[in-house]
Amino acid sequence: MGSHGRQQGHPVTETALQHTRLQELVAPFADGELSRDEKRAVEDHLRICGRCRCELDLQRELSRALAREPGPGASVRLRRRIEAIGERTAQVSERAFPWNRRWVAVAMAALASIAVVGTALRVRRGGASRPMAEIPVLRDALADCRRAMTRNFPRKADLAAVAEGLQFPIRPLSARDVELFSTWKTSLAGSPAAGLAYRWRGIVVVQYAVPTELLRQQPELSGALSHDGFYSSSELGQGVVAVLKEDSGTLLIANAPPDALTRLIL
Amino acid sequence: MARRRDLLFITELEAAHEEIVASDAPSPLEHLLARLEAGSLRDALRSIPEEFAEAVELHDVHGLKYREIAQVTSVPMGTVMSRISRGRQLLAGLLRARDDEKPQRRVAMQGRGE
Repeated sequence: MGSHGRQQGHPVTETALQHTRLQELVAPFADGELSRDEKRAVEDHLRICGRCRCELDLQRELSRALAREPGPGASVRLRRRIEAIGERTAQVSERAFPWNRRWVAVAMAALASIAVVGTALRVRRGGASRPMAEIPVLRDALADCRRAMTRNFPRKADLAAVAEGLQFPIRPLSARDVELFSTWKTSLAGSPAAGLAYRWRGIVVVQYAVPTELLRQQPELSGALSHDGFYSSSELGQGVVAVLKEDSGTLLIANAPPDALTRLIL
Repeated sequence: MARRRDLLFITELEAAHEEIVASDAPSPLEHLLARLEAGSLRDALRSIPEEFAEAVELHDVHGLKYREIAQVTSVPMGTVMSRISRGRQLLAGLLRARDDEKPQRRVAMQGRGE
């Protein structure tokens, strides 16, 4: 095995040395992150090393499987970590947008790729998605939102009070630059729900906490939810995003593009 | 105490990973992955040490390049490389270890000891 015919050293020993060095490069090789020379070295090694070939398959299989899995992106732990990094590198005052510009570009690129995938899948399933007014839970949410806005929102924010009697947990937005200012109980498509209003970057974002079944029952939503992990749409400048967690559903409505809204709950 | 448990746990995952790659088989995870419930793979990331899970998640779930991950997590590229490599190895080991625990395989595992 591995008779490279080099000047010194037993061929087997040389191969073993190469292996120790090159097995570290199998993952970046699988991810297309190696220089041309490194790539060639790994390819040569793979010809003679069954273990590294197996490792390569393993790295590729997991990478693909993770990419394919449905479900929203960042875990809570990861999101907090990213937010902490943004805080550490901030060079601006508390009031202004707190994230480092380079990090925002990176994060946006990640989120854009999620959004693009979502869009591509929806198109593949056959044409424009239905107008939101035709989807009962969204129609009711938009109407409730308008009602709350014309009445200038209930004057207090009391999560405990709105959570009382609900059969599912409320998961308020935890992004750093949102400020909860109003909560109320309401009903959407016949189901009890909680409304929460926040200020975010100068606009109002309304969140509805709903039972998971309410989102799953709508065919238009459940398709996008199971394929992409979220549903998003926008009409006349108003963005709507729906996300399912294990035990509750969330709707977000704001005069902002859906991509910006997904950032708040992913 | 918790630390020692973590180390023992990681050793177990490494051993399970070793079993997988020693087999030399192509597509070694195919059957394991096929048996998984939807969504449980990303969930399984929570069971491996955070620095590895984070690197794997940023690359495989969010599509960041190694250079971007190095920026976001403030570590050198080499560290990103080894965290992703090792993270996936530990994840594979976890899948294998959990699969070994399943009832239909427990008979074959008798005498293994708790």
